[in-house]
Formats: sequence, C-alpha cells, structure tokens
Amino acid sequence: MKALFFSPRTFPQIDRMWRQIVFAAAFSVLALLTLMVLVLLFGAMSFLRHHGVISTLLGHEWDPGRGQLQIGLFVVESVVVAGLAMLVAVPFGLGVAIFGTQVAVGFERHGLRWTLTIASAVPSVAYGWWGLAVVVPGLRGLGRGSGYSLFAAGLVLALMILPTFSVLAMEALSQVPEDWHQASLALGANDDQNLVRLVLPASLPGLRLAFLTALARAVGETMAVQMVIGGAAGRFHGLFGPGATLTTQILTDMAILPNGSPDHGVLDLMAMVLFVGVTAMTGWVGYGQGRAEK
Amino acid sequence: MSRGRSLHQIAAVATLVAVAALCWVLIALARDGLGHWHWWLLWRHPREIQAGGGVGPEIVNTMTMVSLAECFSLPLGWCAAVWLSEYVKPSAAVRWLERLFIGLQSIPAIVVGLVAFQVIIGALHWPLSVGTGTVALAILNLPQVVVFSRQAMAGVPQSLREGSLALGATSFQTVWTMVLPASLASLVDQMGLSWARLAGEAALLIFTAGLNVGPHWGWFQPGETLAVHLWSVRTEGLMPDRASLAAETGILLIAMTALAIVAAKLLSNRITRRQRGPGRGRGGDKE
Amino acid sequence: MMTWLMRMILALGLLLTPGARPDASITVMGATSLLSYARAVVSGWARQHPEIRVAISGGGSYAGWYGLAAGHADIALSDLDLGRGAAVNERLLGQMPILFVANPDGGIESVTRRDLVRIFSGRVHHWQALGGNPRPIRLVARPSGSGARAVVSQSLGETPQHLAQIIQLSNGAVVRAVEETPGAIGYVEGDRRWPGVVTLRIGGQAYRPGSRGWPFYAFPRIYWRQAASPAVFSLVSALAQSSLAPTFGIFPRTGP
Repeated sequence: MKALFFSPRTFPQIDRMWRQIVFAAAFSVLALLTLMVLVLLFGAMSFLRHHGVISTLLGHEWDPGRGQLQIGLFVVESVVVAGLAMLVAVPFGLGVAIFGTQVAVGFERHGLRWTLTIASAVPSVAYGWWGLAVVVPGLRGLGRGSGYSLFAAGLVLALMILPTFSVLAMEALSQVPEDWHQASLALGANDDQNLVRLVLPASLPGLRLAFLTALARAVGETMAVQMVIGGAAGRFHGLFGPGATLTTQILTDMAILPNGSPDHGVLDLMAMVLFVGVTAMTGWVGYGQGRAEK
Repeated sequence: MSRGRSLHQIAAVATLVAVAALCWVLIALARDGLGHWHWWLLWRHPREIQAGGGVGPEIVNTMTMVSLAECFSLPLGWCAAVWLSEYVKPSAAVRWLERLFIGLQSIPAIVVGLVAFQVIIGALHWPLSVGTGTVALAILNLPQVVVFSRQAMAGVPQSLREGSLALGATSFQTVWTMVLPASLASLVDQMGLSWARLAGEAALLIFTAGLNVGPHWGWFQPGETLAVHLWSVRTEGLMPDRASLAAETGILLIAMTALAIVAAKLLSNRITRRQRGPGRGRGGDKE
Repeated sequence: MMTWLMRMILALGLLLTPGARPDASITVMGATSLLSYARAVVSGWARQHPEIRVAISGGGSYAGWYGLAAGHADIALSDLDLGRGAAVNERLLGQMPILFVANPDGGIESVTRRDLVRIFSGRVHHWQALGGNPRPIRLVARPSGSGARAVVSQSLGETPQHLAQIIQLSNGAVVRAVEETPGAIGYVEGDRRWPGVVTLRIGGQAYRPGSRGWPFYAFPRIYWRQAASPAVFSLVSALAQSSLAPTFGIFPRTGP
C-alpha cells in the first residue's frame, strides 16, 4: 500500500486521480444542494407568479383556508425571536469562552468543557420540553398572558444555541498563539487590555463563524420553537403574546398545504426567505473576508 | 492582580449563570427519565395499547441510519472542503460559496425532508424507508460537514503546506500527510456533534422514514427512529405508560448522543496528544 | 476529466433507478389523530403478511390525499370529508367524538352550545361571564387543516384569525397546553379520560359512546386508488373492520 502510494512512478497518476475524486465530490455536493435549492426556488417562483411579490412579502394576512397567504409578519417575528436569542446567548457565550480559555485552569476548565459538550448533545426538542416546564409557566407567573410567547421562544432558543456558540467561540479564542500573550503582557498590558486589544480582535474570524453558525441554527430551529411560541398567525400580539415564525408556520401549515396542493409554493418561499436572509447576513457580517492574507 | 481583570470577572459570572441554566436542563431531564427506568425498554418491540412496550428496533434504526448517513456525507463533504481550500484560488465567488453553505444550514430540516420526499419518493419511487431516511439525513448533514471541514483546514498553517510542496510533494501527499493529520482532531470532534444533531432529528424523518418499524431491519423496511417514536408517543400515544415511556425514551436518546459526543471528544483528545509527541508539536496550540 | 464525470453521473443514475417501487410495499399516510390506530392495526396485519412492507407516515389529512393523488401513498387516512376523486375509493371508518376540555381553574364543568359559540368567536373573554371564576379565557386550537378544527368551526362558526389563540399540532399537545394553562379551553378527538383537565358537559350532557345527541363528531375515512393491489384491499378491510377501533375512540356511525 505504502509502496503504491509513495513510489515515484505512481505519483503523477495518483495525484491526477485524487484531483478528479476531489473535484467529483465537490461537484456532486454542489449539484445535490443546488438541486435542493432549485426545487425550492421553482416552488417559490410558481407561487409568486400568481400572487403579488410586495403584498406577499410585506403583508400580514394569513388564512390558508381562504387563500390569504402573506408572510411579512412571520419574517418580522422570526427576526424578533432569533434576535432575542442572539442577544441573550452571545454575551453569555462570550463570557463562557473568555472564562474557559483565559481564566479557568485544571478542573474548572475540564468541567466547563464537558458540561458544554454534553449540553450540545441534548436534542433540540428537549430544550422545548424545558421551555414548556419552566419558561412558559414562569412568564405566566409574571402576569405575562398565557406564557406561550415570542419571548419564551427566544429564551428557549438562546439556551439551545448557547453550548454551540460557546464551544465554537472557545475554539476561536484558543487559536491565539501563546507567545502573543506573553509579548502583550511584557509590553505592560493588563489582562483586560490584553483581552480587548489582542485576543478578541485576533480571534475575530472564528468568532464570526461561531456567531453565524449559532444564528443559522436559531433561525432554522422548528420543533423546540413550535412547542412554546403559541402559533397565533395573522396579527402581532406583542413580545409577550403568541406568534409564529417562518419555520413554525411551515410546520403548522404543512397539514393544509402539503406537497401537491396548489399553494404549497408559499412554504417553499418561506424556506427560501430564511436561506437568503442568513446567506445575506454572512456577507454582511463579513465572514470569509481577509482569509487571503493569512 | 485585581486591577485590570474586571472583564474577566464579568465573564466568570456569565459562565456561572450559563452553566447553571444548562445544568438545570440536564438535571430536570435526567430526573424525569431515571425515575422509572426499565431495562427491557432496550430490547422489546413497541406496543400501541398495552403498557410495557420497548424501543429495541428504534435503537437499531437510530444507530444504523445516523451512522450510515455520516458515512455518506462525511467523505463527500470533506472532499468538497478539500477542493474549496486546496484547489481553488480564494476569490469573491468562493467566499460566497462558503457563505451559501452557512446559509444552507438555516433551511429547516422539515423543508429538506419535503424536498427529499418529492425527489426520492416522488421521482425515484423508493418506498418510505430506512434507505430514504438515511439519504435525507445525509443531505441535511452535508452543508454542516463542508463548513466544519473547511474551518478545520483553515486552521492548518499555510507554512506547512508551502513547506511540503517546496520539498517536492504532490498535492495529494500534502493533503494526506500534512493537512489531514493536522485537522483530524477537530474533524473527529465535529463529527460527534453532527452525529448527535442527526440522532435528535424528527421532523425530517416523519416524511421519509415513517412512523413504524418492520419485523426486521432492512434498507427498504420502514425505519422509525428514537426521536420520531418520542414525538409520536408524546403527541398521540395511547399506551397507559406513555408519560414514563416518553421520559425514558428521551433520556435514552440523550444518553446515546452524549455517548457519541464523548467518544468523539476522547478520540480527538487522543489524536491531539499523540501528535504532540516529540518533534511533531503544533506550535501555537495551547491546551 | 469530463468523461470521468460523465461516468460517475451514469453510475449514480444506475444506482438510483432500480427502484421502480417494489410491489411488496404499501405506504399509509394521513391524519395525525388516526396514526396510533393505523400503527396498531398494521402491526397485527403485517404479522399475517410478512412478505409485504407497510410504512406509516403522518402529515395530516390533506397530505395523505395529495400523496394518494401523486402516487406517493397507497392508503390515505383522513378525518375530513375530502370528496371523492375519479379513481379513488372511499370508506368510512365510523365516528370519532370531539370533546371540549378545560383547565379546572376556570371553574366550569358544563357549557351550552351558545356558550361555546361565544367563547370561540371571542365575544366573551372571562369565565366569570359564564358563571365561573374570574379568569381570562385562553383558547387552545388546532391549526387549519386539522379535522377537529374543521368540525368545530363548521358547527360553531369560524374562529376569527386575530384572536390570540394558542395553536397546538396534535390532540396530545392540546391537552397538555390546556392542563398547564389556567383558564384554557380546547378540543380533542377521541373518547379518552384525560387526567388533569375537565371534560366539559355540553347542554348538561356528558359524552357516552353511542349517545345520539352529542353535537360534535368527526368522521374518519380511508381512501385508496381503485387500481390498487390485492394487498392494499386486504389492508383496507383490516383497517375498516378492526375490533381495535373503539379502543382508539372510533365507534360505529349512529346518526345520519
């Protein structure tokens, strides 16, 4: 085996074959995913051909039984829920990552890593049950309506993405070389200055990826959100009232707009909005920028 | 020492809060499930109306379907990442391609399931089965594999590659003897996480693998997994012991995913340690 | 490079096509509320027909219907009357009562039909107005497309979309939400004793199997293609005649 792989005579052939395999794999991955996106795009376009683009994307009337299909409100509520989740999860996650890489040693560090690892193994539905058992009654106890609300969904999502975000952020922070630390401290920086001026900027690309992965997860989560959000469509009931996001409404109305029904395309459109939104977000945050210099 | 460390203290407090909340979730789940644990759950067949059904076939289905899906998606996604990071010159188009992969992760699993349903069952006429579910899971997993493989390879210093190529190695040798070993630990780690994520997936499999199990395992047999069984017991279950059954199945599922993640983590730690043997240290990695 | 690629695509194509669906495979698809029943019947039927694979999938009544039309499903389960297509057979399974359940906190155990109309159209907001405790009423409903919702809105009038109702996707989820939310009221299919919630009497009458005056029934049906294999017909008659039906709340039809 080794002889075959590394004898000078077979080098060029193997290298060429390898190139082809890699290209074929990349090509088929792209083809598969493009096919998926095309199926969605096709559905969305055929829906939009019969309904106004502006009114569909910006309107709030929703009653599939009567053919009222406007998704604007779901877009807004998706942004609210995901935004709330990120707002809660990112500071805490950053705190965890800073503590885990800069402060903790020995037992603390190991304990933290293992807790995060196990927590990221918990299926998302389990966070939904926790939301039902703790967050919803809690909000109700505070006199905030029935407790099923956008706010509850945001909190559940925040907790769900916290381990993922922390683990990735921790990885990003630990990539900063040790000698940079030493150099910075030798120049008289204190620990906080070291953190703000050196560690965080140096690990920015990794942090961007952590942020975006967490965001994609939060935006795409369905079951856990559906369990606590209440599912009211057609009108905005406030942060503490029931609502529906793009994903939960896809799940809910799969029953009345299944594959093959005339208006099924609106669900494809909702999925496309999610996908385009998050992809645009990656561009806006600047993921992948400045890799060439590295 | 107390001066100039206030940010670190805030971080410590935040960590405490976060860990407490996560432990709350974990302990609540464990207490629910272990309260009435029965070992026969592991091998019995499910029952509809009587108490005492198990989830034996569901365990087998979860293990096989998720592992097979990983077997399809990992090599494919990894090769695609190799192509992106070793063979293509960095350009705006490549950057947008990478962003596309992140965006793809936000498509809800249920939508992926529906597209798989349309194509695999609708156009290729496969039955609702283990096979269909496995392929759907593999497709769901692909964007994630590409993103994390790409990230692991980006962590390998460019100087290693240049050195290897300068010594006359072909790009094949560079990837297999330099880039792969250097990124292996991180890859294994991420593999565990993606295994766990797939094992917890229910929405996608309701449409592609079905809600019941066949008399024996087979590629074209219906393939309910633990997560799907859990969903159906919690929503429409009629067995008298449904509450405890749901709790037990939940804790079993979590135990399985945790086991996968812990195994991957241990393996990846081992790889890191072995590579840090004399003369092969990875500069800059401070563990 | 290109020839290599072509060969690979060809190989992939060959791998995927031999699946003109094996005859020995039946897909049952449809209403969530009938899935437990289907699972119970199928597990018995499959023991007598070990050569045939039966897979069950959910998705709701409409999903089953469209799946049947597109050829993805062989038997569709529905708790709605979807009308009869050209080449589709229909069979009534019986009737399934729809019960109204309320949180004990509301302090009401019996309502009239008019009360229900007022509750579900959003005209009363407090249990006090109906003689109960001073608690706001919270509606828990199923999504449009569910059979139970269709029956309820047909006989009580459509629930306005703008009400802050809590939508739950299944009977189990509705009961759970009602049980845990003070002042909640919702409806479920099937004749089951649910612990933790009050099953409301309507006009003084409690539901009993076979009682004629009960106003809320769903009528579950199965659909299959006329050009179906004998195995499908066999499974259809097993579903239609199973002695398990009453255990799952499906009773012989009494009314018109």
